[in-house]
Amino acid sequence: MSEKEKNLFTFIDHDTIESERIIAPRYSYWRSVFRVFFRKKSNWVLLGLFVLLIVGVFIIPMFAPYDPNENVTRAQYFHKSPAEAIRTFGFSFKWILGTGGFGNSISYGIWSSAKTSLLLAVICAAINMFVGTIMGAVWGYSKRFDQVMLVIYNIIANVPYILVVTVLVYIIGSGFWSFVFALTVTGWLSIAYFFRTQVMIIRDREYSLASRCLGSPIPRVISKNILPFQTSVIVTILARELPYYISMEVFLSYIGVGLGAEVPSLGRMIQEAQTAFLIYPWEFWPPVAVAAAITIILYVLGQNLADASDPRTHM
Amino acid sequence: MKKIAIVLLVALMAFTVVSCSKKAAAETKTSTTATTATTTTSTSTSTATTAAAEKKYVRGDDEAIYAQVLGQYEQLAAAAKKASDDDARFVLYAQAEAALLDSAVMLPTTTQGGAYTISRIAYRTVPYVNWGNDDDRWYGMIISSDFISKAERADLIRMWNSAVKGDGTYDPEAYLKSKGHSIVKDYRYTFTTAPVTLDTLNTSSQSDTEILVNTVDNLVQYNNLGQMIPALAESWSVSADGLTYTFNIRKGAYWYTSEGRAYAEVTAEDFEAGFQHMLDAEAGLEWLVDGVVKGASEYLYQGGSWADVGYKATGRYTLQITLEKPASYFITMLTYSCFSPICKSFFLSRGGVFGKAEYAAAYAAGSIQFGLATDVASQVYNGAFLLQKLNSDSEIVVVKNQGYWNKNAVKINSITWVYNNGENPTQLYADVVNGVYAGMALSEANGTLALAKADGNFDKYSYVSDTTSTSYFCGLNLNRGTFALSSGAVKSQKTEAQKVDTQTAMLNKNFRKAIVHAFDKATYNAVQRGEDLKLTNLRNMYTHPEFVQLSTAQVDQDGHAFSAGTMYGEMVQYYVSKLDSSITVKDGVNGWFDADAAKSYLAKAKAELGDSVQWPIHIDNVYYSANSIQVAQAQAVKQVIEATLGSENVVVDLVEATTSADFYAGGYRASNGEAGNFDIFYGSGWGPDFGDPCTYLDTFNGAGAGYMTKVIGLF
Amino acid sequence: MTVMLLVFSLIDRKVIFQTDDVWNKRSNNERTIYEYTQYQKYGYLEFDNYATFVQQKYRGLYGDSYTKNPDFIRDMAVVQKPSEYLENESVKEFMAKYSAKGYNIVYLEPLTYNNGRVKPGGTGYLIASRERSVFLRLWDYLKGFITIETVNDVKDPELTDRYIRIEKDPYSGFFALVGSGTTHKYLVYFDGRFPFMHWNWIHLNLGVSYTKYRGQQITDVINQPTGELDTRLVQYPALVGTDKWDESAVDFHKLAYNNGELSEMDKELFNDKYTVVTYKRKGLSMLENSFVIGLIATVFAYLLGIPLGVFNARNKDKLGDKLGMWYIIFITSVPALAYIFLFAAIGTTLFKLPYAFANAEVKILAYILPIISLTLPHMGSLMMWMRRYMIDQMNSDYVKFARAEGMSEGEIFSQHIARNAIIPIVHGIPANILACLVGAIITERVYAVPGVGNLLTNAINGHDNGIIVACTVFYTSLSIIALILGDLLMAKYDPRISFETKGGR
Repeated sequence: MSEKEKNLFTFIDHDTIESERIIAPRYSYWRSVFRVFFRKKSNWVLLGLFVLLIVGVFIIPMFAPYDPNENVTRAQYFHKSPAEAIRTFGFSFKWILGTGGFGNSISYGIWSSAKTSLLLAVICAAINMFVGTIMGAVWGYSKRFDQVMLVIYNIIANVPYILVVTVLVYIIGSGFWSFVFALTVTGWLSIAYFFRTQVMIIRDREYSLASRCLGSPIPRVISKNILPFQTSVIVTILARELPYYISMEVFLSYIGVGLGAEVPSLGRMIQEAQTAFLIYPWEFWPPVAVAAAITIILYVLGQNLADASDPRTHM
Repeated sequence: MKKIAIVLLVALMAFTVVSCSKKAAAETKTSTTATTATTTTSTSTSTATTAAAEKKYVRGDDEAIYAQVLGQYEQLAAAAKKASDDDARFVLYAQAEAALLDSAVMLPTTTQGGAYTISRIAYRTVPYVNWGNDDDRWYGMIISSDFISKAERADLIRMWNSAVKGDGTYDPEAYLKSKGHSIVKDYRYTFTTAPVTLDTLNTSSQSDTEILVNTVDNLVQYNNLGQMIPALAESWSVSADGLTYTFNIRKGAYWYTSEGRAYAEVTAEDFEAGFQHMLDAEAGLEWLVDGVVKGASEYLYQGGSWADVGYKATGRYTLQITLEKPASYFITMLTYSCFSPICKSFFLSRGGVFGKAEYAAAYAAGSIQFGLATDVASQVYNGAFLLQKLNSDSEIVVVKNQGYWNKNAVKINSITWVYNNGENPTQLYADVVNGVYAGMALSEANGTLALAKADGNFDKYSYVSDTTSTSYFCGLNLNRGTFALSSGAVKSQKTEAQKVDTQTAMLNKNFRKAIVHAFDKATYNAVQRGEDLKLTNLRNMYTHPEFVQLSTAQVDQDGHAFSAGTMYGEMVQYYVSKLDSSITVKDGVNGWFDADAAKSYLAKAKAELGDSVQWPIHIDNVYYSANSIQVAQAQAVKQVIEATLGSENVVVDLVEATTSADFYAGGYRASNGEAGNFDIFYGSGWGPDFGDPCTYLDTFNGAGAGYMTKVIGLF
Repeated sequence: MTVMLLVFSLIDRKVIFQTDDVWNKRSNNERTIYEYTQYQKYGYLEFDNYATFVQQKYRGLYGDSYTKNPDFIRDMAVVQKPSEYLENESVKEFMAKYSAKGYNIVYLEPLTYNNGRVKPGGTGYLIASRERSVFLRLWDYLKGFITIETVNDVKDPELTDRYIRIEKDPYSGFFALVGSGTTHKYLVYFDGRFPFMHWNWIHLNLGVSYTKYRGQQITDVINQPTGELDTRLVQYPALVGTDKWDESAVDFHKLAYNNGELSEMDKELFNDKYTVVTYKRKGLSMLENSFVIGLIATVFAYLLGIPLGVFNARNKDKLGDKLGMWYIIFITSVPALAYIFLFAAIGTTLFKLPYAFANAEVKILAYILPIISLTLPHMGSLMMWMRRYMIDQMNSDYVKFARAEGMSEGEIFSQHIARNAIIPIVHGIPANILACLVGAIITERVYAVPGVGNLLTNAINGHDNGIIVACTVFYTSLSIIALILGDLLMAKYDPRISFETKGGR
């Protein structure tokens, strides 16, 4: 090189610190997850629908107050199909789905019921998932804890659930929170057990052992190595649990735990319409459809979120 | 680690055991205090303390209130008991019942039956009787392969009525064959609860008796024309003083095993053994004979010996029954299962023992292998059918007994009960239409009525089934003693002043009349049965209106004449119309609801009570909140009463019971009047046990002798 | 077992009266006495009635005419006098005797109206009762768990010749171990039915039912065949060797002793006092019914569910996957009863399949609808999980590597992905197979199949503590077995999982 050319270049020292800096954008796991998730257009639509559903469930009952007993003295209005109801009362949102076993409006009913059921299901699911995943992770990881938990599990899980509930009814009585208690007292256990199996599969993999050798404390190993793999599983469980709680509601009210016949809930609407659903379909399918809508949305969103949670798809 | 966990678990269990036993101890304590409390006399409430600011509710005196409210009824009922002649007695009981209905302490609501039915079974081919178990004896059933049309049924009814009057015989088989039907020899029916025992004398539950009655014969039976015919007793005679009945047992009747092998002959000893076994078992059948058969009460409750009981086999084929006092209706009681025989030798071979203490000990030790529901071989049968299969939640089968003494009267070869809990009525209807089951009652709630209307079967074949003799009724609490359960649940929201006011109002006859005439039975019933069926099973008097009839003409003490054949209900109607013109007693109409009359009675009550009470009066109505029908019914009752009388005058407060145990505890299962936790209760019912109106009316006798006075808060 | 302790102690014993008609009809003191009687029967307490005590005392003193004795009458009547009874001699004896044994003396005062008339159920009673601790009851239960027959079982004083010996068995042609004085005649016998050798000398008892099968052994209840009587040509013992044959379903190997008198017919047909018969039946027992339905349904669920799950994973987001997703959603969100009824309606109208188990003329057809109804949800769940596990595996590095190596998709799926995905499923296999025995509760109820699942639900509704305890014992044992097997299976299948602590930790 000539002297002139040399002036065009400046010599840069080797900076050890600078040379370690990574210039590529930082990888944030959760940001990547959501980026992949929202790349799919259908997820936008579904999420939008879900938000709409939630808003509807809380707002509509304010404008459409549900009175299940308004027609109790007028038996001629029981079990009226939508066509007959519209003929009798005139066309309106209230009568568009016909009447139920006591002349109650189905279309008003499903919104109030959905609100109760959703609230209940969400609370129970939250408690169960939270307790269940943490307990399950610890359970699966520690072998000594495993032995203890297996004994406890055998005892509790093998008492028929119906029995547990009967005893609970005797001890704590009924009501909203007793209901929540009945559903969560053993619900977390099956999630924990399931989780424990998953964790056991992963905990003995080489990279987990490597983390331990390097000195990571157990909680860190659990949260960084094991839990992320379980996101898809967790989400799948969640998507399945909510409709499950709706049907448990029915069963528990039948025994006497729970909200009683006066608090409208999807489970109760479904149960009452169940015997004659082939004959009075308008009483059965609307609440089932609402429950199904919740299920579908959650299921698809769940599966997509599960797919997106896998870091290997973040490319 | 393991050890710690186990210690913790044990500690947890110990804790629960201790806390539960504490609870149990607490309960027994409260029950003993309750029993001592009731023996203390309570002061009677005097009426109006004018505008007292501090009113305290004190429970009144049962005797005084009973005398005030039902005194006249009691007099008339006592007079009826003294009557020697059946017909004269029926007239006097009609007067007593009219007084009871007029007192407005109870309001008959509904009965069973009265449903639209489609069926292939010919009209009245099973025994026709309003009490006892004979109507479940199905041996004489004529079943067609097709539904019976309305016209055919009308013909059959006509033929039956003629036969009862003595004009010709009733032969539905020939008639149906002439109309082109073919006869089916196997009967299929549904059941929900299987028998828990095959020992007919060790149970009083309907689900057991319904099936077992087809396998065991009694001394006498009713036939399909409603006449009493000899069964295992060929003939009988009554002594002159009416105290001793002698029965001659049929010779050549045998007990058979499930397979049909003859085991032993039926003798009078078998009847004696059955009776003693029934008293030993104390399963709920014995109260019928308590005080009726000589020595039975002593044997049951006071350690009396069997030798003193008036039920003895005086010969191989002779049975003698001695009564405490003459009762002309005694024979009609004999169709009840408490008089059934058991095969003595078989009973002994299966570990059976006689004697109260011995039986109790053997039963507790589990050494008795007689009549076990899982083993049809643990019983022998002398009836029209033999029990061959009993699978509790699936199927029960009886087959024709080829050795039956009355084999020719048995028209079907087998009866099969199939388990059905009502969850799939669409399938049930399809099965009925396809001929799997012979028929069914249609209902609106489960949609079968709509199905039948849709496919035309309703128009072609449906009829309204007979109503039964069970009467359900509503009671008003005249002397309320409980305002919350001992656990604190089902608590009345009334203030002390309101409690006193309700009591005062309840003791006023016009107020009570206002309530009973404002209770719209049809609307109440429609909640459960639907609009189409809301009237067909309504009952308007306590006794079944056609329970008994006059066999000869009678003239009452005021000179009014009733012709022979007058039904009991007609007489009651005559007497009650003189006391309260708004009551119609026949079945199937809304016979008490009269809004105008209710308002006028209320006006009278207001005038009489004046300032002594604060209006509105609060009436507590307990309902079970987990049962949607009950919730709706409670709402309907509230809405109608308040709409008719005005909610400024009467308010029906709905008190919630969150568990069924709580609901029953203060109502149906209350052990006496004081324990009734309600002001109005519409869940009681009563069915008759023999052919005399006193079987119903005695339940309202005073001084605690009446089983139903607790439903009006007394005794 | 701890479970049983929990059940015995936590369930309020008053609950057994909820559906009891007899309790309901009684009132006041009589109701209390009835409760005591029932509690004693189920082992909650022991109690003795003063009336029995006095009866025994006077029968001992005066023989059978004791009922006429004025002292007896006085002592019995004194119970009705609350102010006097404590002074009575017999009462004092009674109270002393039982207090010494640790009993509580309970006096139920007579209840009367103001006019002196006794209220219904208001007769006075004097009793002594003692609670039995939960552990005693548990001990009773465990003690009775296994019973062995001995020659002293029969308490008949007339039976003098008691033995156990080997005799020729006319019914099987072989030898059999026969007893006299034991409850059953044939203690060990052979016949052509699996497992060919049978014994009556030892019995396994799961307990006694309280309300539903009042007082019967639950093991009997679930093991009895539920079909028609199995009638064949047989000879009664006294007629063996003659030419008299009968059509009968009696199982002569199960003859038991008759403690009472023989009827005339019995004397003609039997040689000894073993005349209590049981019948042979065709068909399956409750246990077998549940097991058969459950097992076949599980097998189908696995056979269909797993391949479908794999198929869905491979065709992710394509039509096949979407159809599968709709199916899963349908099964999860529509209540079980509803889709069972739907499929039943299709089955009965289109295929003329029988609905209620008892209405089926060809019994094999009666199993079809229950099996289908049980398979559907199970299959859906397996499909969903298999698909999930497979998709998780599909994104792994080793799969990319295998693809780069040149393995075909098919090979990758079957040899790598499927094997990894199936690990958690394998874990569940023993639990699922043993869960068959629980019987699909809903399915059995809908089709009225005589099975074990129905038994438990109805027992709980009927407050039958005996059956509940027995079933709990049964299921607990099975579940423990299933859990252990599942863990073992999984560990065997995947060498990376181990249950012992590894070296280096």
